[in-house]
Amino acid sequence: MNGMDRFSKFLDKAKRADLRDKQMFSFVVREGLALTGMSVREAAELFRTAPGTVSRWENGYTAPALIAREAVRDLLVARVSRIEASLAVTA
Amino acid sequence: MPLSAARLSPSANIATVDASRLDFTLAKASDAQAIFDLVYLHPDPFLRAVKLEDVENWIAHGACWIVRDSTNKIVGACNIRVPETTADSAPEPAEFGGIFLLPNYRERGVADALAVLALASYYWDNDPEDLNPIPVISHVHIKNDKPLKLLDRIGFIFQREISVPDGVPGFEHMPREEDGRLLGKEFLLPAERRIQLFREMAKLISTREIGTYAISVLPALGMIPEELERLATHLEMKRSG
Repeated sequence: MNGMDRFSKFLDKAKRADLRDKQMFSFVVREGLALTGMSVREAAELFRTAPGTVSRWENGYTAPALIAREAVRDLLVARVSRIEASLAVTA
Repeated sequence: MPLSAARLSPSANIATVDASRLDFTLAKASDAQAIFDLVYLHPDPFLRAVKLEDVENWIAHGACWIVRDSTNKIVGACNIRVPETTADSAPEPAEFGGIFLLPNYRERGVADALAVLALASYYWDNDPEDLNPIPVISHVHIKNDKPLKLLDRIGFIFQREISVPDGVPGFEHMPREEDGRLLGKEFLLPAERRIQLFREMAKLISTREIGTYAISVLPALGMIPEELERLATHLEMKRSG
């Protein structure tokens, strides 16, 4: 899979994700952080939580309230979309 | 100036309004020095000795909630340590590190509000609907009775006596047993306590006041009173049935 495919696949999957599924939320966080290059610490500041909590999310141990899962997903989708758009311009 | 004149003075009015406003939010790295100053303003023999870099670690690796007055000065702080985990290591309990508050703000409900914000936000972010979430614990020196009232009000219950291993930095100055051991008490916050925490948090966000203070709260991501109330009701029903 080339780099652009990975971005597109993430965006497609994240937007349609059933976030009631904790493992799906875990995927969104894990892949979202990988694609944005954000550290757990940076993500914690963005999501107003502790880095330890973000590490629990990305490893599938816990997930926040559903309304917060959606907010986390939306923030990651927005960031990944911006990176994808900038990559498309430079490609 | 007579009191009546002070009350009529526009500048005095502004001062009165300012003094009654508090902002609750999550600390950032740039707040470390101010929090360090707050914590070590009043030396406490039972407080673990830490350096500025330790406070920086509270912020970098935990959730450090703070309260600011209208001049933007940090007047209170509450730290919850959430150990980072990996795919191969099961998560450890979070640890409630207590409340630090300037004397003028004590016994006015500010400490309780900080605790509610910190703990409700922790549980909001960690399986709020689960009957058995990863718990929050707290440690207190065996002879330190000062924090017990607050821990009791929040809902922590005594769990067990613990012995601090030798060589852990920051405990050298603390009173020890005759046999040289350093003992502490471990408290646990029962999962059902979330019902009250979520309701108290919903009240904080919706009323925007604590006693005589007008407050603003920037809580955990997505947190709204309606969802907090739904979660509280959900947990109540799950518990009873």
